[in-house]
Amino acid sequence: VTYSRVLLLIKLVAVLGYAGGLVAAFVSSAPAERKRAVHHIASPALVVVWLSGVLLTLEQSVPFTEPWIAGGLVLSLVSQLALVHSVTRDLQSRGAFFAAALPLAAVLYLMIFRPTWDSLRADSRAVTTGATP
Amino acid sequence: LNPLRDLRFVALLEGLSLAVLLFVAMPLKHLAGLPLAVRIVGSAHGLLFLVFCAALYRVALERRWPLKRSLLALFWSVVPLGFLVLDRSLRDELEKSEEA
Repeated sequence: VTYSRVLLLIKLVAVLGYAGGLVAAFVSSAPAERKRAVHHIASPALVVVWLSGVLLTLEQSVPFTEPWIAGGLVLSLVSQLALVHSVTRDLQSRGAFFAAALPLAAVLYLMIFRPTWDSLRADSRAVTTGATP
Repeated sequence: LNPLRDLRFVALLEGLSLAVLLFVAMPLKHLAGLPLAVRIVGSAHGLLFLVFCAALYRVALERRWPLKRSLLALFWSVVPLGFLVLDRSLRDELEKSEEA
């Protein structure tokens, strides 16, 4: 068991906590329950995700400016703001759900495929020259 | 939990981390050749800034702040030592809301 693996496990549990809070905020019908799901489950879980993510980038010496790190931070913030907006304004529409869930899905995409500036530059060069990357 | 009190606490931490980054970590990097200080304090500051944005958005929505008030709070959070101004205005608002 290494330090990175422990951090990854904590991050995974926290991501599940955030996703659970997000779903609970849209499944519950009582506004107080929805607020509790966001402010007591999803938001603290997201802070843990950010903290473990920052510690992982420090441990692995990954620059914060890489698209998969910076994009993940910004998109997760967008998801959280949309979630807070939906419970404060008591919105439970499909649009409100997707406004919070789609940025989260995009973060998961970034975390899996981990695009870097080098890989994006190589891809764009391949597209302009017609070669396969 | 009072969201305004949470925001005041986070704003203080965020402002202090910016001050430490600018006045301690950056001189350590550029004058003493210790880049690790910026890496650590910069990471902490980035994390605190995200938490500050989330807390600010919640307070702005719940207390129906005008856009100008929210933007001003954001402005003071990125100005070195601006957190002192922001803390004073948040403290005044908190005292008023507790009196009411």
